[in-house]
Amino acid sequence: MITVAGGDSIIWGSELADSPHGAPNGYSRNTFAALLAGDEYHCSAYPGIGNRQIYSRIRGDLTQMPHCGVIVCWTWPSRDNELDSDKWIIGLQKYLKFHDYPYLFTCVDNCVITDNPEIDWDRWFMFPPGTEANETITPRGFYQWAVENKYNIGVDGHPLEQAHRDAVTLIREKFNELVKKSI
Amino acid sequence: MSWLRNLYNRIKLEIAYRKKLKALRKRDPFIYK
Repeated sequence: MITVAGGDSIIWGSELADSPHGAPNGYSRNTFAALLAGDEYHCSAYPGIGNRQIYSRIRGDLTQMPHCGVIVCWTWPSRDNELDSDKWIIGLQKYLKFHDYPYLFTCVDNCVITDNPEIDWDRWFMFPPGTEANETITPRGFYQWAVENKYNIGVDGHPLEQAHRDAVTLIREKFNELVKKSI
Repeated sequence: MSWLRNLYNRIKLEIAYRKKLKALRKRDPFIYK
């Protein structure tokens, strides 16, 4: 069954070799979300969008797909002029749970993490904290993890293929447990 | 004078909010230039 992925340019795959443009169907199949999904993959992500649009694009696409898995990589809340994105995250979480969609959430930067008890943090994957003095010492988002581990990045700053491939190795177990097994 | 104190507090909160938002924007390398 199909896996739907939400996010921004990271999930679209900007600067990855197989993502030629930002027009429809220009997304990459070498992002961590696409690699986890395998052949049956639908990309709801789009470069530059904020969490409000990530929420609404996923909601819109799911109305046509009653049976699928979902993976969402939340972005920086400041894109919506907000200090947190709890309302979009909780809104999508409620929708997915109510309609029984198996899902996994992650993020590009851990600034989206709050202490809101309404958010089901068990359904989140966070990248391991850094160990060096100049690294983030709390669980990280994909972008923080990739940059701090010095993976190659493109001219516009997007982590390239190797970071996505290695991210898959880290996420796969939780993704299989929460999403793959259920669809 | 409570309206003046309320106004002062509201302005103080707004300044703190804008400062936090500016700091958060700086973490986004794809939008913040």
